[in-house]
Amino acid sequence: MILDSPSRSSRSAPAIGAVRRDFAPWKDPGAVPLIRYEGVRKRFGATAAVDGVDLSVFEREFFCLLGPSGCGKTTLMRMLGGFETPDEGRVTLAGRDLSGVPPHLRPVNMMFQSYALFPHMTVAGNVAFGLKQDGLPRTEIAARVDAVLDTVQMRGLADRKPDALSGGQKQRVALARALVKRPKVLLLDEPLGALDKRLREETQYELMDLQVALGITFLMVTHDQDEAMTMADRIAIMDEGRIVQVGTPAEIYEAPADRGVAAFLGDVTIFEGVVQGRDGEGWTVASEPAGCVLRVGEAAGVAPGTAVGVAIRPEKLRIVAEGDPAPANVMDGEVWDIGYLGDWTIYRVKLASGLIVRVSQANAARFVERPVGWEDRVRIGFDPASAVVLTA
Amino acid sequence: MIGRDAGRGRFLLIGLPWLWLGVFFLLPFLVVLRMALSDSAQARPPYRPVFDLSDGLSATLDKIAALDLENFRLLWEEPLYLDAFLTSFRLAAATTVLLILIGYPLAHAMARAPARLRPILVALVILPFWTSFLIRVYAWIGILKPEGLLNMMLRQTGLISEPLEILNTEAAILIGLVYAYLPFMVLPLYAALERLDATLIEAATDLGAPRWKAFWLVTVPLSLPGVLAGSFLVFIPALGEFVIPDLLGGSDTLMMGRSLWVEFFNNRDWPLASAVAVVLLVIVMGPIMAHHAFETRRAEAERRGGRS
Repeated sequence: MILDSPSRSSRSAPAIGAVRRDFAPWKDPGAVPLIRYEGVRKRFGATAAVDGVDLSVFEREFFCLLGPSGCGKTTLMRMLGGFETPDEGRVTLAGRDLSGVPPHLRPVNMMFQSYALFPHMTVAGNVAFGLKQDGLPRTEIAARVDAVLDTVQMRGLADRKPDALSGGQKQRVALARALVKRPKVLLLDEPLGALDKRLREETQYELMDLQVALGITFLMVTHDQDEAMTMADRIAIMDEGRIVQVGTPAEIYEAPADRGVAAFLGDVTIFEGVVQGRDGEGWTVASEPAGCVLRVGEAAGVAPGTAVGVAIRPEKLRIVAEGDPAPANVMDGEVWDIGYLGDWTIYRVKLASGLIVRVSQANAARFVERPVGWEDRVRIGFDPASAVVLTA
Repeated sequence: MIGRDAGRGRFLLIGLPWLWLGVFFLLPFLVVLRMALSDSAQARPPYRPVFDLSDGLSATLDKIAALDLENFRLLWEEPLYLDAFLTSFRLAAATTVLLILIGYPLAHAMARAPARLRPILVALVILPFWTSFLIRVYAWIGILKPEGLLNMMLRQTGLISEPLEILNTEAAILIGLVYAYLPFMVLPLYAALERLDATLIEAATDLGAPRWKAFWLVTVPLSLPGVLAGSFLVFIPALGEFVIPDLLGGSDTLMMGRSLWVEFFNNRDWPLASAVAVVLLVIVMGPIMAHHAFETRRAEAERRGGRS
């Protein structure tokens, strides 16, 4: 498990997961962030909504704040829009301190979760609203409104009132209205939350394409991990007002900072244990729940005697068929539940210790000669490099 | 079976309000209308019906065709009544405008107050209703009369040396009307403003509008139905108001409600009083129907999704 270090270029380093673009300003020590949160705190009554956040977002980045509801992600984003003021710390945009700058003077626009379309104006009226505030000439307003409505494929409905639009159409209008002023940063508050699943997926890719095409920095808030993983260049995981981890989707998924992140993002089984000693390139961990000594890869900050969690994702575990070469770590168990999802099958395997381990297998073939059934005794296993050693 | 029962249920549901309207509005109105077309007489009741359905249908129709509309003509030709109408109209309009100016900021502040305070604020607006209307108007006499509370305070603070003549003027009526009808303006406005999504204002400021402009471009247009509803609730009863002009306006002020009263009780001219009532109703119906037509057209336009 090797992460890209800033000194190496992304090309030569062994990258983990999918690398979307040759775009990683956060790895460049010389790059100046566009948005910078510095020691930001905000309290609502007795609870700290944002509890000491330092964060940098770079130009043209698609950045996502991800976390459970009430973790402070929306408050953090609204500070950039000017709708919340930090009690402590400051927020800067392109080097300019935003303290005391009212929302209408900030070069950012927001797409609201409820869309917040003006019900008494037509689609075109809604989109033109921001341009009118800037006092642009009427012909330019009309041209820019038409252009942005073309972009979101809503030009044919320019004369409709918001009440006469479907959810997906409203979403497009809200997006057009926020984009038409060509903001430095577009803030997106759960932009796809109100759409149904199929439309959401489609819109995700459209938003990504649009972001690349326009070159605008996107700062998105969501509680939906799939959404964040799909769209974002980098994700900040938030919990109880703090940022727990910042990284690319692959880094966060494959190298979670702690047990909380590992469990929040995707499925994971964690074998608690104690480091025994070195084993070639890695370590051995004696784990009672696993019922054996596990071999794991390299891990930082670990010495014999350290209590660790060995985290393994379901898709990196496999059911070892009889006669197949066994991986370094194998455990015996009983099939407790089977969830057939079509593309994947999830097996919940109960070990002798009582721990239930999730194993997923891609259904690459339509028919299997000897399918695994309920209550079958099976042997599951994983390679040392597939596991993550968690110390926190 | 079920279908027929459901049909009957629906018929009852729709029929009952119509029955109510028929018995308690349409029928009395027809009685008043017939009275308005009749001549005054020394009798009991003090009028001579112009027609009677017992005459037979054709005779009745003949008589209706031969109506002279004398009472209505009198209302039009006699400047006294025209004056009364204009005074009523002016005062009702002034009351409505003043109430929009006073009620809007009040309702806006209520709607923006913390959610747990709002029911208390609404209760405070309604609280005066717990005291009799008449007593509250009498209390204003105590405040406004030359040696009353207001004059006393103004003289003590040295703002005036001579007592202000407020009672028995139009100003007193206006004060009384504004005071009495405040809740009728504030409550519909509050309902409209409280329902208004606060993120719309955020969206407007986010798009570059300063707060005052966001208020003007978003809050005001979206609360117009509330303003309209409040204005009707105030204007219509204020137009026919009798108690307030009678108690605070003195004998000189003539408003339609007072003329009606005077004709009916003092002059015992029931037909003329009825004619005043019919005219009042027609005047009031005009704006209501215009409003209704406007709302219907707007709803239709929104449903079709076209320009409105």
